[in-house]
Amino acid sequence: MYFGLTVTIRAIAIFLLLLTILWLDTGTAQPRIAVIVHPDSSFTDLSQKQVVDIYMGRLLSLPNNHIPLPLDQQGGSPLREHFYETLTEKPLAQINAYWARLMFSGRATPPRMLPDSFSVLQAVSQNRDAIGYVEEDKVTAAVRVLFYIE
Amino acid sequence: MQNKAVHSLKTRSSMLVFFGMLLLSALIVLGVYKLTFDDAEHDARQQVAELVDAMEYSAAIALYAGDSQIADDVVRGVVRGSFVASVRLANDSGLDVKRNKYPDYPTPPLITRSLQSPFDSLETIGILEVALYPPEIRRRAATSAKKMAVALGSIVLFPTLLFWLIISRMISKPLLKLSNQLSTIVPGSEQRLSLPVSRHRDELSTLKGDINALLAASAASMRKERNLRLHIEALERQYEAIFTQASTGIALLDREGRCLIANPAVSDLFDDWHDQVQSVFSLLANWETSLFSEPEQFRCLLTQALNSNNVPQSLDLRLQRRTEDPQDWVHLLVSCHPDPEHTVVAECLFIDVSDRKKQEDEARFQSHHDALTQLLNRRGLEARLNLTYAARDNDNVILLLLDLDRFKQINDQWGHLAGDKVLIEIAKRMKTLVRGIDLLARLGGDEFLICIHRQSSEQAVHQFLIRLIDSLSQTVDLGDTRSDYVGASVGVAQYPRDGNDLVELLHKADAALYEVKHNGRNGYCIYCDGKLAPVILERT
Repeated sequence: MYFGLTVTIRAIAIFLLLLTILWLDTGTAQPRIAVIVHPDSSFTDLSQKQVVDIYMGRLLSLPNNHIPLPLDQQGGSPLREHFYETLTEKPLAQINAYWARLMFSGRATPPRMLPDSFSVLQAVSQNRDAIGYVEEDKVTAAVRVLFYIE
Repeated sequence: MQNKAVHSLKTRSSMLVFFGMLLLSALIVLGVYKLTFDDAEHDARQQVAELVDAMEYSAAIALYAGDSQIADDVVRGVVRGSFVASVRLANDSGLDVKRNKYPDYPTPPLITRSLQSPFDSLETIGILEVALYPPEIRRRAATSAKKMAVALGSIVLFPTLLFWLIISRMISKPLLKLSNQLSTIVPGSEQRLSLPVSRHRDELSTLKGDINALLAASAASMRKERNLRLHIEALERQYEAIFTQASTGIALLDREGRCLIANPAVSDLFDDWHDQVQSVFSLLANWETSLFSEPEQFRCLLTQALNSNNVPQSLDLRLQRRTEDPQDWVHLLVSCHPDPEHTVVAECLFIDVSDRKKQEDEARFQSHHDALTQLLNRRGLEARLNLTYAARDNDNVILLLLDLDRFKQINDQWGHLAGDKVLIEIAKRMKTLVRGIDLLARLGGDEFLICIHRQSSEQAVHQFLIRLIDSLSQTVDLGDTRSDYVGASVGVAQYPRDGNDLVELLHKADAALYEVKHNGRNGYCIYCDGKLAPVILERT
């Protein structure tokens, strides 16, 4: 009896601990992602879908004949993973496989990767056709936020 | 042999089973064939759909990215499917990749799949169009149906063979064996079918048992019948023996007197008339004319028998013979049946009575004749002399009453044997002097009577008397070199002049005779109205 009670209490304690960890994780670990463009960019009203098409190599030019230049974060960073998963609702592995297949036919190339958010901010602020994404809290006045990804 | 095999039970039943199974399996094959065909397009569509499923993601990528290279890969992959005639992958942005394996086939059924964006399932980005190739579908269906038909056929064949074997082993062979056994069994013999040793009785052994029972029953029946037949045959032989060996003639006649059957005794009666006998057992028509000397008597008898209801009629009938002597007689007994429908109406019995008739004739002869001289005696004379006939014919009859002279002396001198010799000699001499129609009688002792018919004149009577007395008075040889003589005295009376009956006439003649004896013997006297004038003759 004594032993059984101890086990039960211990199990309940572990369960409560796990719940707490999960709550902390969902609430704090995923900051919003801001999709950014040059402040004088011509495509200020891009939808989320258009952004996906640009990043996945489908939308190569826009109706105003501007060719968008999507910029990607470093491969393997949690930000990048979060960006694609939220935007396309696909795991990153599938996105990689998608690019691998398209690259094999040699007609399309994936967005250029930059080492960190700073480089992205810098690149976007210097190119009128560039599109990038950074953490919400790293956005500067040198770029314009198109929208936030939850 | 070929025919026998075709018609054997096992072959026929096996054929029935085979054809029944064949029909069934043909129906099944047809059904399966149809189902296979009906399902074939569905199956093909499913197969193609699966193929498309497998390629869908790649196709979506190709359309999404507008990559014609990948699109071409996809189209090439899909078109490789067996049932696929052509494949087309197209989007609105001008990508349109198409491959056609059978460009000649018109209006194929299509499978069209609209493809969604890989990153947005709500957005349709193009279509994948697959055309099916029905000939290939049909070919596949036919192949599988054929395989099924072959399988079913072998399934049919095996039970048929099995059935044939079972029928052959369980029914046909035992039946043939039974048939062979039956064919060797002689009806009525003690042979029986062999029954199986085991107590387990099936239909066949029951049948065998029944057949054995039938054989036993028929054998018993045949034995019984054979015994009965033997008995009847024995009886028939006895009857036949009676019929054929009887000394009494038996004949069956119809209403007209025609002979239906006669036994040998009847045939024997014909004696000299064997040509009249058709065979031993039957006679020719009008046989009675040949057999009887007076056939009308027989016909009369038959008529009487037919008319007298079932009362036998009998008569003695004289048989017709070429010679008069001896006379053959039969006693005929005819009895008729009352049944008019019956062909045999009369039974005739022929009893030979010739000997009896002969004896009767002899007895009659003896009673009417004198044993010594064979002349008529007094009774014979009375029977033969029929004055009534003579009177009717207006005939004269002359009676000569004759008495021998010296007969007593001869008897006394030479003995009675010599006297008998004299009497015999006298009778012989008288016979030579009279005609056949005249009567000669010895009335007793040495007294004789001669009756002469139609002696015309008185003169002739006198001459006859003289000749008679002269002849009788001649010497008589007595044997042993002895001889003697007698004289004759004759009294004559004449009918109807001297009397109307024999007694009266004899009385008159006796009176005349007395006159002769009284006047010296060896003479004659004719009685004429009481006037007696004896004539005495000298012995020459």
